[in-house]
Amino acid sequence: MENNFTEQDSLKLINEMISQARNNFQEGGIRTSIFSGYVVAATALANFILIHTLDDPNQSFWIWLTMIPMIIISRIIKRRYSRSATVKTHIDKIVRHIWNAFAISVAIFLITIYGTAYALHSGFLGILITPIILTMMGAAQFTTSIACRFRPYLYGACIFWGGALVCTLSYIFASGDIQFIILGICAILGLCVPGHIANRKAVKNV
Amino acid sequence: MFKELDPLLHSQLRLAVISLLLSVEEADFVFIREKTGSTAGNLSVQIEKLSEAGYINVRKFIDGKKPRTVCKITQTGINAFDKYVKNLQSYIKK
Repeated sequence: MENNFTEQDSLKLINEMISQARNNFQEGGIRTSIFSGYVVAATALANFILIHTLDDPNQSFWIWLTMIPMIIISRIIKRRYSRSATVKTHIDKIVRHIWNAFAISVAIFLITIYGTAYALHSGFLGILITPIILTMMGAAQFTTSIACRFRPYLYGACIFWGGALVCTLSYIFASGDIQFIILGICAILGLCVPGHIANRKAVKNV
Repeated sequence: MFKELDPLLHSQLRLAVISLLLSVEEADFVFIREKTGSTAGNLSVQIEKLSEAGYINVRKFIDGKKPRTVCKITQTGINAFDKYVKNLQSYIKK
């Protein structure tokens, strides 16, 4: 077998191995995406319910502190799967950085919004939070879809961007609390559904 | 003028391993075996040769109760592969 290994065979083999290495999804990253999607959806729904049940609806926003344990648990899940992953691709690293950038951007954005609200003594800017975060999620998911060359992530990005626009329309034509229902639906359709599809692909490939 | 091809890389399985590792950050022995379609014994021998030449780093550890071997291409390996492909072109262009 080795004696007949020509130069053309070399090139053919190199191309074949590079193709084999492509599109190997890592289960860990996908599971954290699915987990985060469900937690965000549940928190959004809980916020919506609390707005209508609490004496002071403004207290309902404290539920979003659940994002902190969610991030911690996501990291633990990721680390556990990362350790036992059979392959780590360059794409995994890029996607990890995309979502780290998203998380940092959201944190800075929230500090800016609350800081400005405190300075202006007005909570008016709060209506920007959900549409802007949905827009940023759309950008992160879109970049992930390009990096992974995985179409369901692209559809997810469109869901987030559409959700941001629908949120804005809901302020005009309906009540502001509908934004949490929109956020929950976007989290399920934009994160969880593509995540489940990718998870099935990861189990098949690796 | 034909340039000499690196004998370490001008081998079907070793070239397959290096090409695969070039495309990923790191890969498990099981992954490499599946993608190259080789036997465990033969792959072990070839990985050892590549590691001795400094083309790849091999990390062995216990994951839970399972022993694992993870391979990663080194800068030496990347340079050797680049040189191999450039030299290959002198043969293809003839």
